[in-house]
This record gives sequence, structure tokens and C-alpha cells, in this order.
Amino acid sequence: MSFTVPLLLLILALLGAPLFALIAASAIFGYQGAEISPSVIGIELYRLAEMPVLLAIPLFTFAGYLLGESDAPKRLVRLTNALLGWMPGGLAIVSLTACALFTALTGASGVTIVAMGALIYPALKEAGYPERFNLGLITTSGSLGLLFAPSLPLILYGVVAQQLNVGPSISIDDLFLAGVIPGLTMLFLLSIYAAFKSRNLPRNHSEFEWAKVSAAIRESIWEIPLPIVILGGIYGGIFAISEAAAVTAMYVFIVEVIIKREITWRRLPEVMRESMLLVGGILVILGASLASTNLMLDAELPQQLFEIIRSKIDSKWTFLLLLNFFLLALGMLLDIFAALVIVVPIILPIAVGYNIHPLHLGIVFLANMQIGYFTPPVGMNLFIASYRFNRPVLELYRATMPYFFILFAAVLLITYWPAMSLYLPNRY
Amino acid sequence: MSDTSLEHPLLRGLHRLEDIVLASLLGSMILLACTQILLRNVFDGGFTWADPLLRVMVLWLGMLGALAAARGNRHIVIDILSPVLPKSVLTWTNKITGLFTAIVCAAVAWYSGQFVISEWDYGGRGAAGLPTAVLASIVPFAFGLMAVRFALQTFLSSGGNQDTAK
Repeated sequence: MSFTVPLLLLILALLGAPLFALIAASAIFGYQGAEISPSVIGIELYRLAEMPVLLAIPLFTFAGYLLGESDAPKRLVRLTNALLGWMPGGLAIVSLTACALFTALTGASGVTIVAMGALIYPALKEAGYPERFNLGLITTSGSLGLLFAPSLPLILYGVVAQQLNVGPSISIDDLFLAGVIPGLTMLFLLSIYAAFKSRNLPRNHSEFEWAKVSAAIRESIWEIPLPIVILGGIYGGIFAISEAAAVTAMYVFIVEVIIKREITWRRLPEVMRESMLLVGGILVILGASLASTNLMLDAELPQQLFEIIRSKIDSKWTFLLLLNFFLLALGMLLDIFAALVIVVPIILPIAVGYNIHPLHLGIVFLANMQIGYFTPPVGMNLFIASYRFNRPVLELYRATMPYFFILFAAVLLITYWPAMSLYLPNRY
Repeated sequence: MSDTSLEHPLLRGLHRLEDIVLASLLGSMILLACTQILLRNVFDGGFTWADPLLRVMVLWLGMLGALAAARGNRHIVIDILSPVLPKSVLTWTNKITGLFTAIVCAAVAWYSGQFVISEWDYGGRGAAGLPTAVLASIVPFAFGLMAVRFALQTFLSSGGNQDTAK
């Protein structure tokens, strides 16, 4: 294939052409090169209607948007504060935990920074935490929790990996289990840092009071069953993922619209539309990439790449290290959903060639993407935080620096210790 | 979001219609999925047509969502150069990428339209016994309208008024 077309597409990509159009264009050119009728693209797009698990994407997204628009974030902060606020660095740990839970439910689309940041930022400031620490914490938290069920990127990785069908077959339930220990490790390391940073603050944690806990529980009594039902239902084998998503969407709707009435019926269509914009954006990229992926597999591109890389690098560990840097750069440039559907089809077959388990690769992939969100110069959450808190982006570069190194250490640990990801799925 | 006060009433009506269709599709999807769970777990039954139909609804939601995303330039892009390019250059690059996207959408609409026509001739049936051609018709429909939308944005915009903020 000549290089003119890819080069042109690359330039258009950098100029800001929508990714779905770029992928679709490359598929159409690919069909013509392979002398296949381009009407195949219709068949490939129609395949979006043949994957049962995709049902989970609009349903979870809608539920996440509803929660984000309601007062649930406020209640979540109050509840975690009552439960964890007594620890050294309590408030910071509360913020990290609440953000992680919230991101798991809403996907890392910047909603966390906007919705949770508004609550947490003033509280941290009042407790006397240094400005830069707070900005860094909130920006970092915007993508923390990606590894916890039922985050959309985890589901999407599972969908793409299942389509490829290379190496040991994986289920999305397994992926949900694989993310638990790595996700908790990240949360734990950041909490230690927070506790360390707040050692000099006069009063950074509150007393543990049963009265406060019970008040917070009473206030969030409707939301508390949610994680229990979702996670218990999925891990307990009661629900398929898409069923858990349907129950979640229905439940959140009943609680926030009918019982608590925090979202009026008038506003409901708008929230629905907003959430479906994201879903449409993701699905149209996925659909286009189903076409381009098949072409690429037919051309045996991953195998050829594997041969080339194999001739240069024979250790699995060196490959993983290079992969980390590649993914980090990718995470800075590309939206996580786009990265998943474009890059996983190329990388997964190569990784399987190096005997890397698809579950492990998925966790490594997402963990890197998570950091990429706030890696200078172009990590998306840096700009969202800069916009939200009205600070120059340069200040956010500095603020997120310590968090970057902590999480990068966690990523290295996750990369070189596969058991962190594989222990739970193997056990259950 | 786009500034509704400047829109033509007809256009506003069209957008409103789009929102209503999206919302009712999502609403009926949630209802149908939950009914199906209830039937399966409580009555050990369920509609055989429901699961395939739900999957087709995902396709329809995705396509209509993508169409709605085209309205305010909300599609996923790599946004590296736009913050550093001067506004005068940006106006032109926006026109180029807009035109490119319109052409690609038109091509996808055309090619997937051929697939729909051949399915119609073939008479294949999909979810709930409906003709596959009808179920798949949303693909050329949505891409066709997206092509129009991107083309209009390209030719009507004077640049700089596009909504890029998230």
C-alpha cells in the first residue's frame, strides 16, 4: 500500500478530523486495495447489533450521567467522610476513594473532575491542604477508578479482545476481577502519599462518630444498595453485565427522578441526549474499527509486526517496558475509547505472541491510559481541570507531577507482577 | 451546546424531534431490558424476540447518538494542534476536516445503502422477524444526515463559532 493515504489521514487527524471518519476512510481505501466491495462496511457497522454486551454501554452511561447530575456526588462525599475521615490525611483519602467510585460508574470522561471537584476542592482548601496538592489530587482523581467494575473502558476492552479471539479467551467478568487488586494498589499508594503530605496540617482529620456515620447512611440509603447490587449481581453470577446495566439504569432513574426528584422530568430528555452523545461517539468509532480491524487481520499485519519486533526484542519484559512508554504516549494523545478500539487489535496479538495474558495486557493498557489522562503536555484532564478551576495548564503540570510518579510506579508494579491482575480471575 | 436562540424554528423543531426520538428509544430500551430480566427470573420465561431487538436498538441509539454528536461538533478527535494554531488558520483547517468528514459520511451512507438494498432483494430477516434491510436502514440514514450536517457546518460557518468546549 502506498504511503500517501496514511500520511494524509494522519495530517487530517492532527488537524482535528473526527476519528470515526478517519477509521472509516482507511477501511474504505483498504477495501479498494484488497478488491473487496466497500459495501462490506455496511455489514461491519451492522455487527454493532450483534454483540449482546454492547447493551451495557448506553445503560451504564445513562445511569452515570443521571447520578452525576443529581446530588449523589454530595452524598457520596459525606458518606466516605463519615467512614474514612478519621484517618490521618482523612479528607484527601476520602476524596480519592469517592472519586474512584464515581469514575468507575461514570467512565473517565471528565465528569468526575467537574462534578466531584466542585465539592472536594473547597473542602480540601478549608482543611488547609496546599493549593497545588489539591489541584493535583483532583486532576489525578479524574481517571482514578478506571480499573474498577463496571467502568466502560474495561467493558470495551473485553468486547474488542473477544472479537479478536487470540490467546486464552477472556470474559468481562474476569476483567472486572483482574482490575480489583491493581486498582486498590493505586488507591493505596496515593492514600499513603496523602497521609504523608498532611502530617503537618494542624487538624486534617475528624473524629469518628457513629452519629455522623448513621446520619450519612440514612441520607444515602437509596444509593448504598447500588454498588452491592451491581457488583454482587455480576460477581455472584446472578446478572449478565448487560442485565446489571439495565437494573442500574432503572434503579437510578427511579431513585433520582421519581423518589428524590433531583432531576426533573423536564430536564430528563436533555440528560438522556447528553449521555447518548458519548455513546454515539464511542459506538461509531467501534463500528468503523470493526471494519478496519478485519482488514488488518486479513493482511496479517499484527503477525508481521510481531516478527519485526521479535527480531529486535526477545524478552517479554523488555517488550512490556517499551509497551508502557508507547501506551503512556498514546494515552496523552488519544481518547481512551478510541485508543481501545484502534490500538488493542494491533497490540493484543503481539502481546499474546510474547505469552502475555490478555487479562494482564488489558489492565496494563488501561493503567497506562489512566496516567496518560494527566500526562503533560496534552493529557485531556489537565485541560478540563484548567478550565474548571481557571488555572493555567502549566500550574497543573507541576501540581500533578508527584501523582504521576506514584502512579507510574504502580503501573510498573502492575506490569511486572502479572499475578496482581491474574490472581483473582484464576481463583474464582 | 449550540445557541438555540439563533436557530431557524424549523431547525429547532428538527433538533427537538431528534432529542425525543433518542430519549424514547433509550427509555423503551431500559423498560424492555428490565421486563425481560423480570420474566426470566420470576416466570422462567421471556420474549424470544426481545434480546435481538434490544441489540438492534443499541445500533439505532448509537447511530442517532452519533448524528446528534455531529450537531455540536462533539465527536471524539485528537485535539493537539487546535490550541496552538492561530484562529485564521483554524478557520481553514476546520473547513478542510469538515469537508473530509462530510465526504467520508456520504461514502459510508452510499456503501451501506448498497448493503441495505442487497439485503432487501435477498429478503433476509433479523430481530423480531423484521427484514434485515429495515433494521440496518438506520446506518445509511444516520450517515447520510451526518454528511449533510458536516457539509452545512463547513459551508455555513465563518469559523470560530463552533463549539469545541466539553
